[in-house]
Amino acid sequence: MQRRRGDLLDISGLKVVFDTYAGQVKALNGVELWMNHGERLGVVGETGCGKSVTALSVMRLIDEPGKIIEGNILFEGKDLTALSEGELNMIRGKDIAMIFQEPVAALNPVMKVGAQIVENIEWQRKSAAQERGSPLQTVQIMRDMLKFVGLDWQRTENLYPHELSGGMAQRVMIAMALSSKPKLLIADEPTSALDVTIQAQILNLLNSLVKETRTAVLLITHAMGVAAQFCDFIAVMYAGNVVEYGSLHAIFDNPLHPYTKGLLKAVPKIGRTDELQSIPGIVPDLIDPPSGCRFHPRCPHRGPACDKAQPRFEPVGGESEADRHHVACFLYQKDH
Amino acid sequence: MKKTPSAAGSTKETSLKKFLNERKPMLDDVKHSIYLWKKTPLALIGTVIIGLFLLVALFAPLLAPYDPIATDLSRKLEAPSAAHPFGLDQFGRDVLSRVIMGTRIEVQIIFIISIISIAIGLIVGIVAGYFGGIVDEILMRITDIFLAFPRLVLAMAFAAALRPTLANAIVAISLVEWTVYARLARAEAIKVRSQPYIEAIKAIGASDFKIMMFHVLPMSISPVIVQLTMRMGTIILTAASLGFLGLGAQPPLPEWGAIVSDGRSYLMNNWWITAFPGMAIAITVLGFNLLGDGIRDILDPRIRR
Amino acid sequence: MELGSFIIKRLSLMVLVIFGVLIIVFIVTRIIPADPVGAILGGNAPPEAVDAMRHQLGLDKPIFAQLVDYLGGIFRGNLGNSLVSSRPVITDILEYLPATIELAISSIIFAVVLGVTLGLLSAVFRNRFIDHFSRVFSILGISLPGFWLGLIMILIFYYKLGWLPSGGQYDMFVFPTRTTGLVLLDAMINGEWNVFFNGIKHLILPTFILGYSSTASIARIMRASMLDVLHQNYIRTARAKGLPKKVVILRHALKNALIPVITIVGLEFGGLLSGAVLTETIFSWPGLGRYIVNSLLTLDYPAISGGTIFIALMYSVVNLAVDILYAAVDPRMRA
Repeated sequence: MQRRRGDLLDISGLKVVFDTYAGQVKALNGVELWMNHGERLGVVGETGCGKSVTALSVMRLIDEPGKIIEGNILFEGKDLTALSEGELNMIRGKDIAMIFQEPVAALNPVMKVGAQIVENIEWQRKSAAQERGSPLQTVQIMRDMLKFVGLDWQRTENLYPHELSGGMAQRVMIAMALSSKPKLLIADEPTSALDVTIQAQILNLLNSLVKETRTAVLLITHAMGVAAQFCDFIAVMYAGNVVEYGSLHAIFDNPLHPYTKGLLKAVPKIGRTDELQSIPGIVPDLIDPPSGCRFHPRCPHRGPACDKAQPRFEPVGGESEADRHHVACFLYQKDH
Repeated sequence: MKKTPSAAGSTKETSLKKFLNERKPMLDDVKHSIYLWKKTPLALIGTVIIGLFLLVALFAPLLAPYDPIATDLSRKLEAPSAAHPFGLDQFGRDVLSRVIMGTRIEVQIIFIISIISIAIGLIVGIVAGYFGGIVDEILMRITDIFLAFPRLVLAMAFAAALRPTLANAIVAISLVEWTVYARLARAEAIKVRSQPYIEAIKAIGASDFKIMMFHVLPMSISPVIVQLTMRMGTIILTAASLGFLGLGAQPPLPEWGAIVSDGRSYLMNNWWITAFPGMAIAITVLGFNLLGDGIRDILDPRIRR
Repeated sequence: MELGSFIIKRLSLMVLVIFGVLIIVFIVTRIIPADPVGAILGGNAPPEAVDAMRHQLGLDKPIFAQLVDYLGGIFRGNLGNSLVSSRPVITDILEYLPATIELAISSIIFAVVLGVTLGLLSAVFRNRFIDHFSRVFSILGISLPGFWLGLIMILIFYYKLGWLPSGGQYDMFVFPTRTTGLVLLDAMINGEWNVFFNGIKHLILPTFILGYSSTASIARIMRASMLDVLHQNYIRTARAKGLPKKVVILRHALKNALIPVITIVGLEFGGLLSGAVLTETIFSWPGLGRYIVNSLLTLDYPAISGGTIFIALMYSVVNLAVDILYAAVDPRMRA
């Protein structure tokens, strides 16, 4: 077995495909990603680049017609790809919790929100074979959690999801996710469906809560700005690959991959004087992806080798080890 | 503007290529439909059954080995044999010939009921949806009243009041069926009415009648046709039920439901009179239902994805 | 509170519809028939007899006066006298009604239990054996003509195997005490267990024949609805909690998937009443459906009108109940 790169999560060579009528969608093409306990990692990329598929893979929630065909997902050293449903259910919700893009739709419409949180608390206890705790205790934990995320439990616990605003619903989801004190929280575009003002509130809340509980966060987002605000490390994904990975500082101050550079140029910033640029071309068709580096058709620095083979995902020399700066591009391959 | 490499090689597209490219989404859609069709063998089976059913109806006089009405009391109630695969009934008539000739009656039933009920449904629905307000309210309440009866019960009442004949059974079922199409057409009409181009046409002086005829009606047709394919099985079942109850086609007409009813008294010893025409109903209705299911599935965006 | 106003709105709509039902029935029984008297007396009755009959039935009055008489009668609970039995139609109906209620209830229970189970299994084990089986069973259920299948069942289970009776609510040598008119319920109340088991035996085939097509529709809707629900985000949330599949399905998916099924059950009740007409005819079941068929064949107009009104009324009441239940189950509807 290869050396573990992150003591919490280490994804290597992850390939996921979806069989559709039109052909096989090669959604993930060897994803590399790792993180330690308590860290906050942002996965950034355009719609359809495979961020969400990566997140769902970690939860092992990829359903038919999708399947993981290669690679490992080590969680605290255990390979999640090798676990049975029963074993996974000991980890899901308990060690790894998840919140989603559309919080209202993510809650069961015919169950009161309090009951949905209680269900999680009870189930995690049961699966951990802890003693059950009195129902009253469980309800108390639920109320504490609602308070913890800034909701008035008396008003909230008996509401149905459709009676909540998006922001409130996301708070409920966060309360539910954190109620089991997970080691890793996966947040899949947690603020994208919310109003701008609410977005900031939720991000701030999430920020303070995970700091307090020392929970590691895998944040999936399409917005560089959100990732910059929140994360310690950034992974940039393009068409099913992590093309660049490193500390916030490394990615923002020394972006190497042409796609990362393009993304950063596309972020609006106050006080920015140069023109906002978009990356020309479109996201490739993953049924019939471009050969070699999947970015090469859009790449301004395209070289002769780029459509021949896939560039290796390698550490960038000359930087601090702590930056973990890695990139997959022929421009930086030493033997190239 | 930068070109994507795929387009870079062929700057001079032939007009055919260009045309095909523009139509690509549509072509893909048709391809996808055919793909789905092939993927659902049940829909294929349905298509085959209905095809055979129509062929048999078309060539019924050639296919029927005997006269379906001529009686031969000396040979009544003969069991199925090589000469009479479906046996003979209580009047010595060949059951197979009656079943075969019956296809023509069933086709007639479906065809006329479809036309009458769609006509009524479209008129009521389009007028209600297009004018809205009080007109809509009145027409829809009338529709509700028709829907307050179980379909067969109302059809039975109409058929009996009009005197039980095949023609009256057809009218009676049409008077019950139209509600389905009225609701569909109304929904379509409401959609079309709120389109901005309708305002524009009105502004240049098009009459309500013209708008309904040339703009609302064409839009309503396709959902109505789709629904129709799904209702055909039910229509046959209803007609056969009326025939079975003696409220539809009368003897000696070889309507399938009526033949089943004929055989009822001889069920114990002469099962074939009942069994075969009933099987013919079952297979035909099955064919229509499979076909209807297939069409629904293919048009269902949730399954398409 | 919102539920209350919803019920009131729905109820007033129903009153309006029932009024329309009465008008339609009036049209069907008084206006369309060219010559009800001829139908009653036969083609060659003497003119005096025809006139006398017309007068007796009130058919010599203007049509509007007839309508007023008819509506007035109905509101006083008077549906007229049957031309065949000469008894008040309402008495006849109340005598036949319990048998239909009993058959309808047992069929709807059969259909809901079996339909929901099959649909659920079908969706959960999609494309596996149980799914294929359930889909074939369902498509046959909506395709096979009930009146024919009923006869085939009688042929097999009565004539050939001799396991089940061919018709009726109970055997001739069984004498149930009539309390409510519902044979099985009466038998239980009065402790007549021989009657009870005899009744059950008689109920099996009619229940299956009447309930089969509803079972099929419910299974189809349940399957579609369940598949839809299983793709919803909240199911993913439930799975992300680490709940086992069984809990996800029974606690989170089932209740949501049942919501559309409730509507179908209401609509199926109409199909059930239609089917009762045929089923009761085949199985000589002494219910309202058979009463109506007999009235139609003998052109017993008061009985036709009374029976039809009653059926429509039952159907409307059940649909009202279903709508209210729907609103009660789905919290989103209450707003």
